[in-house]
Order: sequence, then C-alpha cells, then structure tokens
Amino acid sequence: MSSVGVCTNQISTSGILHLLLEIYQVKDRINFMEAEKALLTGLRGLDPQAITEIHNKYFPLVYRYAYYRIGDETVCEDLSSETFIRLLEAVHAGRSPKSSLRGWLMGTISNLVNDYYRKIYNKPNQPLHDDLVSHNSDPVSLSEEHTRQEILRLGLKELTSEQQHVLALRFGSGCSLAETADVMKKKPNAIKQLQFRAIAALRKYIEGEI
Amino acid sequence: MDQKKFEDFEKALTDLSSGQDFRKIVETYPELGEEIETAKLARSFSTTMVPSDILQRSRTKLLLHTKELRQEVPTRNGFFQRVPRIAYVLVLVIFFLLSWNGLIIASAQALPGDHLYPAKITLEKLHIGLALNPQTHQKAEEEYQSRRVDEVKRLLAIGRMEFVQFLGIVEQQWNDRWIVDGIEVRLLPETIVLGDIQDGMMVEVEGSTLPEGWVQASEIHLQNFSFNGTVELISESNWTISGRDVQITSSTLIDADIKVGDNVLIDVISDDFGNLTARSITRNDQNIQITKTPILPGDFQEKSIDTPKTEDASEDDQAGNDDSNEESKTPERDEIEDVEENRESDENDESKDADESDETNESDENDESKDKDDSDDEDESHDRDERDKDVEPDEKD
Repeated sequence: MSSVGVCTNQISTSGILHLLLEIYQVKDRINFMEAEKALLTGLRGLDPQAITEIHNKYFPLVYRYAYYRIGDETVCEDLSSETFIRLLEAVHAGRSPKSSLRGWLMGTISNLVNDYYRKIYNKPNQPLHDDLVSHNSDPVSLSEEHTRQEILRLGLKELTSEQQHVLALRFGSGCSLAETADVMKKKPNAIKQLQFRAIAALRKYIEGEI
Repeated sequence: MDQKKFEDFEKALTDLSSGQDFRKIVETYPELGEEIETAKLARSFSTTMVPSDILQRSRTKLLLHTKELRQEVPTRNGFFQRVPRIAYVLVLVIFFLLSWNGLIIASAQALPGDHLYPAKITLEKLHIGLALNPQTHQKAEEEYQSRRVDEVKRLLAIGRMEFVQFLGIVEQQWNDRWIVDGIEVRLLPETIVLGDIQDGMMVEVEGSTLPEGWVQASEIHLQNFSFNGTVELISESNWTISGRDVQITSSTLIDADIKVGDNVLIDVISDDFGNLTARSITRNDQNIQITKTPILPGDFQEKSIDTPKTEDASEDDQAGNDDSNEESKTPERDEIEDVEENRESDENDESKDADESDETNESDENDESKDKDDSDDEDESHDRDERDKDVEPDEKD
C-alpha cells in the first residue's frame, strides 16, 4: 500500500516538474519572440541601436557557419557582412523576415556560400582556396589527424547541399536540434535523419580516401 | 530500428557538445562508434571565436550603410508596396468623378457672393466652351443668361446686397427707373449708359442688388438689337444699312443674293463704343427668311420705324411686323408665310389681321399699337420715324 503511495507520489512530482519545465520553455519562447519583434521594429526604423544589437547577436553564428564551410577568414568576413547588408535592405524595402531573424540570416548565408562555390567552379582558372586544395602531395609530413581533417573537408564538399547545410548549422554555428529544424523548416526527426546520413556519407568518403 | 539509431546519434552529439568523454560516449552507443568518431572529427575544424576586428569592421560597414539609407528619399513600403499602381489610379479617378459631380450639384444653387459661385461660373464657361455645335453653344449661353436673371431675382427676394451682372431685354424706361427682364433697375446720375438704348433692346446691366428690391445700376451696355433697313453699301467687311455702318465677320449669317437697295432685317451686337457687328442679315421681302438668332421685341419697333415710305408700304410693314412678332413666338415658317400670303391677298381686311395678331402679342407696347386704329398706327409710325431720324446720327457717332 505504502509502495503504491510512493510511486503515485513520484509520478505526480515528475509530472509537475515536466509541466513546470514546459511552462518555462513557453514563457522563454514568448520572451524571445517579443524581443525579436522589438528588434525588427528598430531595424525597420533604421535605429542604429537595434541594428548594432542584431549584428552583435547574430554575426558570430553567421560567421562561424561560413567559416565551417569555406575556412577562409577574408571570404567569410565579406559574405557575413553582405548577409547583414541584405537584411537591412530587405527590411527597409518592406520585405521583413517571415520566419525568425536567425532563419532568415542562416538561409541567406547558405545561399551566399553556395553562390561563392558556384562562381569558383564556373571559373576553372581561378585557384581554389588553399584550405580547399588537398595537401596529400606530402602526406608523410602531416599527422594522421591532420590528414583526416583535410580529407574530411574535401569530403564535406562531396555532400549534398542539405547535408552540408545541416552539418554547418550543427557543428559550425552550434545550433541546437530545435534551432536547426527551425532554420531548415523541417521537423526535428527529419533533421536527426539528415545529420546521421551526412555523417555516414562523410565516413564512407574518408574510408574510401584512406 | 533506424529511428532509434537516429535518436541515439542525436543523444551522442548532445553529449559531445556538452564536453563528455569521447570514449564514454562510444561505450554508451557502441553500434555508432564510427559515426561518433566522424562527428567528432567533423566538429574539430569549426571555430568558436570570431576575431574582434572582423566583428568591428562588419558592424561599421553596416552602420554606414544604415546612414546612407536614412538619407535616401523614403520609398513606398509595406502595405503600399503590395498594392498595384493601377489601384491608386482607380481611386484617384473615382475620387475625381465623385468630387466633380458633388461640385456640380452643390454649386448649382450658389448665388453671387457664395463660396461655390466661382465654381459654378467656371463650370458654365467650361460647358459653353465644350459645346462645339453652334446651336448647342447658343442654347447653353441663353440658358446661363437666364440663370443670371434668376439669381438676381433670388438675391432681391432675400434682400441681399451683391454685385451682379446680367443680360436682359429693356421692357420699360421711366427716366431713372427701368424694367429689365422683370427686374427693376434704377439709374443714378453717375450711371454709365452706353448706346442709345430703347425698349426691347437687349442690354447688359452691372450693379448691386439692394434690399429695397431693385438693382442700383453702375453701368448699362447696349448688347444687341435688330432693325430693318435698306442696304446702301456692300463691302467685304463693312456694310452700310440705312446709314449705319455694320461690321461683317465670318460668323455672320447672310442670306444669298442680297443687293444694294434690298430691304433687310439685321441683328447686330453693339460694343461699348457703339460699333455694330452683324450676327445675321436677312432679306426682308415677301419670302421672309427666318434668322437663326432670336428676334427681339425691339425688332418690331425698329422695323415699324425704318421702313414706312408710303401709306401702303407702312400697312405692309405693319403686317410684316405682326409676322415677325409671331416668328419670335412661334418660329414655324410655314405658318408665318401663310399669314403673310393671306395678308397680301386681303389688304382691305387689315384691321382683322391686326385683331388676330392681338391674340398672340405679349408686349404691352405691341398691344397698345394694335389696339389703335389704322390712322393711329400711321401717326405713331410717323412720330417714331422722326424720332429715329434724330437718333441715327447719335448712333453713328
């Protein structure tokens, strides 16, 4: 009798905690949306303070994403800056982000990176960036770990655009599962599947190279 | 099965990012060892730090661009950008039409001195200007002239003082009191009277309405009148008719084959200097032509004054005057010609004709002339003839 009472007590305690957690998450989400709405209003009014706040909050995410996929500081700086200029012009012209600011920014940087690679591949005379060129010419001088990294970076280029995007969001920008799902406009389960397949494809590439 | 693998892999990634020991994670998910190892490697070349100089440069660039945008002329945005331009045009057209109709309706009842009165006058001018057909043009002018008279009557009825300007026919003249289109007009010694104005002539009156119920005239201009006369000289731009010089313009309507010596009915416009411009010249013989301009009651007088030379002729003219009066009332040419023929065939029954014409005459003066005997008619015509002869040199001056 007493064991049943303890069990009921435990269930009710965990249920309450779970409920409180959910309430906290919802409240947190509402606060976030209100803050973002205020930032967007400031952005529309070309308020320097709001623009600075948006830049400081999201520039690291955008830059890290670009760096993960390209690896060159100068190119990444240009593309990241361009992303924010585009945001400013879009909002000023009345085309505010329909999803979240993060979603809009990550979508734009992804397109800019894709455009960057397209331009490079369309101009064969232009040399690829050092980080993109295989250094396998002298594999003995490189540590096994370094070799693997280089191979992996090359292997990353072989993935589909979506697979590259999900890995850059998760590992480059450090987005959570929920944030990645929000940016990619997919369900979390689809993201789980996508990231697993991306890693599996990458592993296969590395094994093939080695 | 696969779904569990995806779930476990997600848990392993979460553990990796929270800094847990790699080997421990692999031990937890042994079947995902290779994937977890690859994931660890894939994470390794990401950067967590953003160089501060890059951040600063990017921010400065963004703020400079913001400044440029602030200096730009604001463009259409938001809701207005989504609305097609044609919608703006349609809204403007509808607004214009509604306001135009509203203005016409609202201004129709406006009197001189009202805010909407200038709008009413402008609309009327526009209507006259747009009437390309001469008949429509003349009809519109006459309609608006009668509106001016109505406005003056309304102003007098409500006893409001306003400056007015209207066209009307002089009905009676008693020294300084005239009746013009039923409106009492009073003259002061300083009132400017231009032209030798007689009863029946159309004049333009300028003056002020007074609460006492009359118009105090500041200026009265002779506007237009008609008279009968003999053509003495014909040139391209000037005709002389019974001693009066008359200008001919391209819009003057002239009967065909008029020669020197013909007896004509002429409708003239007088300007402020007494210059006469012909509106129409019609042969005044047995086949009477109807002028396209309205014949005023004044024609009747002028005709009776100018033409009689013999007793028979004066009788003919009297008959003709009756006709012309009928024309002004009922402009059916056939009827007029019938009456004319009857009168020619029954010269001895003139008094009967006169009685018939009495039934249709409206002006007091005409009634007066027809109530008299034939002899009285002759006397009166002679008297007027003499007066006209006195007047003519003045008009020439």
